[in-house]
This record gives sequence, C-alpha cells and structure tokens, in this order.
Amino acid sequence: MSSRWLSLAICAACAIAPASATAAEHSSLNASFSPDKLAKATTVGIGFQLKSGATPLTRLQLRLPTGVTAGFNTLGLETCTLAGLEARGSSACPSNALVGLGHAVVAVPLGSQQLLEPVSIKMFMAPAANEHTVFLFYADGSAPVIDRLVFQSVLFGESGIFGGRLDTAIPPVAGLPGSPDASVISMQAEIGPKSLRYHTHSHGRTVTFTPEGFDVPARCPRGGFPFSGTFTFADGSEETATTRVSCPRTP
Amino acid sequence: MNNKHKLPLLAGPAALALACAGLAGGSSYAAGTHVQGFEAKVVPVQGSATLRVTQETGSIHQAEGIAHGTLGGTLHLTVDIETASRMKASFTDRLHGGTLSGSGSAKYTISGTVLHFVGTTGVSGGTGAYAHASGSGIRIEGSLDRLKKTLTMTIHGSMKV
Repeated sequence: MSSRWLSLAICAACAIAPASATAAEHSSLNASFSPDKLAKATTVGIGFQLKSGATPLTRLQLRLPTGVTAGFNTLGLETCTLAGLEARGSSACPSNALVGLGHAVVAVPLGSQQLLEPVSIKMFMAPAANEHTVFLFYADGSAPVIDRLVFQSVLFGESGIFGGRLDTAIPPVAGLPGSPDASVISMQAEIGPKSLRYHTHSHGRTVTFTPEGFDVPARCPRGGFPFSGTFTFADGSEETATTRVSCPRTP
Repeated sequence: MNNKHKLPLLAGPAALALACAGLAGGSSYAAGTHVQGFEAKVVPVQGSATLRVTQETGSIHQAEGIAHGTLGGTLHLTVDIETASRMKASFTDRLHGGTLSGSGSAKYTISGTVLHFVGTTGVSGGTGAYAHASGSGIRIEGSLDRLKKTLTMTIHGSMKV
C-alpha cells in the first residue's frame, strides 16, 4: 500500500461526501471586522465557499475596501521567503512574520464521491517584490493529499470602492493516484487575529505584544465596506461573489 | 513695495544657516536667490526630515518632526493610506518667516518593518514669506519604521516664492 493510500485509510479528520454535496449553486464570500468599529485597527475575517461542481480553483482575487490597510500598523514586522517555507515549513518563518490564520477544505476526487480534507492555513508577510507588497499562504494538511502547499499572493492597489486586491495563483493540487486534481473548495481566515504574539527587544528586554490588525477608516461608505472575490477555475470560467461589512452603529 | 513677497530668510544669519544646512551642496535657497520685489523666484527645495507618528485615527496618521535642508522648520504631516499601494499626504512646515503648506501622493510597499514610499508633492501656499509659494512635482522618498513609528524622508525639487 502506498503511503498516500495508507494516509487516506487513517485520515480521521476527513469526510466523505457525494461530489455534488459540498457546495452551493453559486460561490459565496463572507467578511467581518472584529472589533467592528470605525477608525480602529481590526481583525479582518474573510472566507469563501465555492459553487458545487466547479473545476479546481486556479486563481483567487480578493478585493478589500478603500482605506482598509495595514500600512502604518505593526502587522507583519518580519518577512518569510517562499523558498524557506517550501523547504522547511512554517518553522522557517519568524513569528513576527505571521499575519493571518485560518483553515480550508480541499475536495479530493474519489470515484463518484469526494474526500474532504481539512487543512490549516497560515499567512505570512514576504519581502516586497516588483514594488508590490507580497504575502505567502502556507497550507498544512498532513494527510491524505496535501502535506505542504505554499502559494504567493501579491497585493495590488485598486481604485474606486476597492483599495486593494490580493491576487493569488493557486497551484495544482495533485489528487489521489489515477484521479483528477484536488481543489480548494472553501476557506476561512482571519488577518491580524488577536491570538498573534510578536516579540521585540527594548532596552535589553524581550517585549511581547499583539500586533495591530488592519486599519478601518473613520468613515463608512454608504452601504457598508465592500469586499469582492473573483474565482478563476481550471476550465477558464470565472465567478465573482461580493459581500459587505455593515457600517457600525457607533464610531 | 509689497514686503509680503520678500523673504526674511534670505537676509542675515538665518540665511547663512539655511544655506549651510542645505543638502544640495550647491545651489541653496539662500545662496541662489536675489530678492527684488514682486518677481517670483524659483528656489531649490532639498532636504530631509525625521518625523514621529503622533496620532492615528483609522487610516489617517499624523506625524511631526524636524526638517533639515534648504527649508528646515517643524514639519507636520497628515497621511491618508487610501489604498494598498498609494497614500496621500498634506503637510505644513513651520519655518522662520512663515508657514509652507501643500499636498502630494506616493506609492508604497511594505516589506516587514519597513514601509517604503516614493512620490511627489506640491506646494500650494502658506503664510508670511511663503504666502505666494507654489510648486509641483517635488520628489519625495522615504520610509516608515512600522514598529518604532518613525518616518524619514528626503525631498528634492524646486518651488516658486
């Protein structure tokens, strides 16, 4: 028995589902601020669920509202390289480079059914490249398909109601032997969560602190803060989902 | 003669001090200008500044510090981080003889502790000796230490006074 099949046999966290039972007719996006207050640093929660029957996701473009940025904040004070992550996993990255945490579900085709493999996600700050801010996503699944998956996300400036676009190319995820590629079908992540701990040195002492999250502007746009997710699939099709974070009642 | 257009900085010890402090190493605000009444003069604007972030309200950040070079003075910046790659800023520089104000924008990237920015600013006027100052396309470049909340920048260009 191959190690992959052995892993499959002992995958306690996985679930088996009919291929059509894992998602809805349309892809959806969700977003949140915590705390949900204007003019404060916040944890940005963002997630998606892809439509059922979609071919594997190859590109994800998440658009963030204008003014929701981490430019002046302490989130991501060090960097982590793609090569380091690929070679040594998340231990290659300093804790001060960790900017987000989350989880995802990967659908692994298995005959007429699919195996749903949960993976944990870590998001790191990477060195800027070509005058753009760069992040790295590290997916750790351990069994049966995803052991370690790293992908790069480039942050572009946008205009209009959106201030930034996080553009992520999703590499192919090999499925089980003789089966089609696996695919990320959902993800939920928090950027700048309160659980992060950074360390710095001041006057000979180590200081531990929680980094600031993303800034929320002092003014809320009419209708709330807009988010958008554009999903590109392996067959070339594309789908866009939108959502909004409602304006807080009080500043 | 309307003395508003004269620059008090250009005469006496203060002018000498500014000329010496200029980063240009050549033409300076004081040395390169002869004040003759109303005629607008183009003067170089070159120098550096070190500021500290003093207040943050959402995506708007206030910073204040000392500028050195052909202008000098106490510089106050209001920075609005608009998008994931661009920010805009307005400034007021309190100098001997008046204040100078303007606004500009810059492209930025984040790489760990450092936020690096490059852009341009304009001068839209001021008070006292700088009441009629104007200028555009003045290059700014600098970085923010995101942990220490200190901002350093250089400025290079010219303006009319």
